[in-house]
Amino acid sequence: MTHYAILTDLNRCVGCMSCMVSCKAINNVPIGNYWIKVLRIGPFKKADYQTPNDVTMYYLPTQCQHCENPECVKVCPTQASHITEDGTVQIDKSKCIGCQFCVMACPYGVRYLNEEERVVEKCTLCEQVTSQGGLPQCVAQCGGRARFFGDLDKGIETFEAPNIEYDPNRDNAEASYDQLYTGNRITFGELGKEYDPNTEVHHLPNAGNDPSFVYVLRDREWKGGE
Amino acid sequence: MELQWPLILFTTFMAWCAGTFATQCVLAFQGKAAKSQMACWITSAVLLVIGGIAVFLHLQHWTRIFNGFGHITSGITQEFIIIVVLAIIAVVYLALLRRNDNQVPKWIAVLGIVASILLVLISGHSYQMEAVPAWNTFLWPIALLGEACILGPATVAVVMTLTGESDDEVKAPGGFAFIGSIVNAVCSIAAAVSVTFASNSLSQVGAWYDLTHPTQSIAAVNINPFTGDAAMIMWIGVIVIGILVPIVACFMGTKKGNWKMWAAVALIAAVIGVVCLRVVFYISGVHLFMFY
Repeated sequence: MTHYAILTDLNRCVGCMSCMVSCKAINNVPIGNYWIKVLRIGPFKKADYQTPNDVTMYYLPTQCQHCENPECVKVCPTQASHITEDGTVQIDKSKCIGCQFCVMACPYGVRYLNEEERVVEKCTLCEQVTSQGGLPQCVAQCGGRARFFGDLDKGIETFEAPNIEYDPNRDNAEASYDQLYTGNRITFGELGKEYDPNTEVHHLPNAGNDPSFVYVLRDREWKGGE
Repeated sequence: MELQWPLILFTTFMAWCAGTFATQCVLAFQGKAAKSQMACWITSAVLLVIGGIAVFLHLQHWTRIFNGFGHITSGITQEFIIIVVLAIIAVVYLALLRRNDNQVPKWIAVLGIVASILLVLISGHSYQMEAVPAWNTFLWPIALLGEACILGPATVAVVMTLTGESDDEVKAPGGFAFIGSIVNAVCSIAAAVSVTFASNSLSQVGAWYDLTHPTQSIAAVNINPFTGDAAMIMWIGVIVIGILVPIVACFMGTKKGNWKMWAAVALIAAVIGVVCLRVVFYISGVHLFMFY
């Protein structure tokens, strides 16, 4: 059984919003709608706060968490929202009646009504690309190489990010844009700094939906509960 | 959460329809109000149809309900099933009413009451979601039941006065309306008070900032219906108009016997109160993780 998800190494995220922009571009997300958003959490005082310089913060890319027990799927009357074989939550637009109960039932508010098509949309985890072995656009374009895509059943150490540097020399076939999609990967196990799996691996708050996405945050206080 | 007017109207009309039909069934069970049974039945049928139209206005692609509708864990499916059950019972009720000279057997009256209660509870239950802490309590379906308890008897009392029933006959639904107005008060206030405790379940991160909305207020959301954004609607719309006015009107009706006026006053005020409480419900409906 596969269960695709994204891991975000929050210590590497610089809040460049490349994930947001690339997602909007590749998925044609309507103006005013977002399938992924970068939030800034903080600033807040460090535990050993003494002077106003002792503050910290982190960026939190937030999107559909492709939950294990998604509430959106339970409340959908036509099963337009469903769990696919790769463990992701997808919407069959031809079945969506636009009742928007899924929008209400999602704890994170990451679903939007597409006003033009009059159906609900959200992050698809770029299934059109991942089904062919590629990486989701937000992972491929991450400016801080903070995002990794993989199968939870194989462990987060195996999650992958692109391993190429940007090379403006288009004649260099070894480092082309296409390589974001095929091969040339680096895993979180290889790139990520050491972390405590018990205290530094987090999820968004759980309302019984068991969010799948993983956030790694070292040496800082995770806010908002699990 | 954004106000969903079609759903607000749908839920209001469902409670109204169920309350009216249940009151009519109670009177039929007691062997009363034979003269008004048909008018009451038509009234509840009209309310059901208006509620149905309202909910269809909410659906963006209603024709797709023929494309796999029926996922049983969905509140909408459950509502649809109980509406169909109630409609079948109502049709049988009508057939028996016509056959037996405006009298119905007690068993169908009991079935009507049970189906009406279930309709109200299931309608309210569809909104119980862990994702929205303010909604995640059974007190909201109970509040809807309380609303049906005032809307139904007040409507039947109005219909009976319009069909020329004597003041003595109208006393029965009038008495129910008085009790219903107090039940409605207790249930509505209980649901609103439960929201004040829901604030604790919302995710807290301290300071935060949404990069896509640089000018948006990041002040903590106050979902308390008595002091927050919905306070004005709660105090004036729900408590004064929706709760106090029906209680006073029903009390006056019981005392003076002039149900023609007092039942109408109670009904109009109660409808306004029910709509206002649904508005409060949506304003309080903040997601667990409300930063997106």
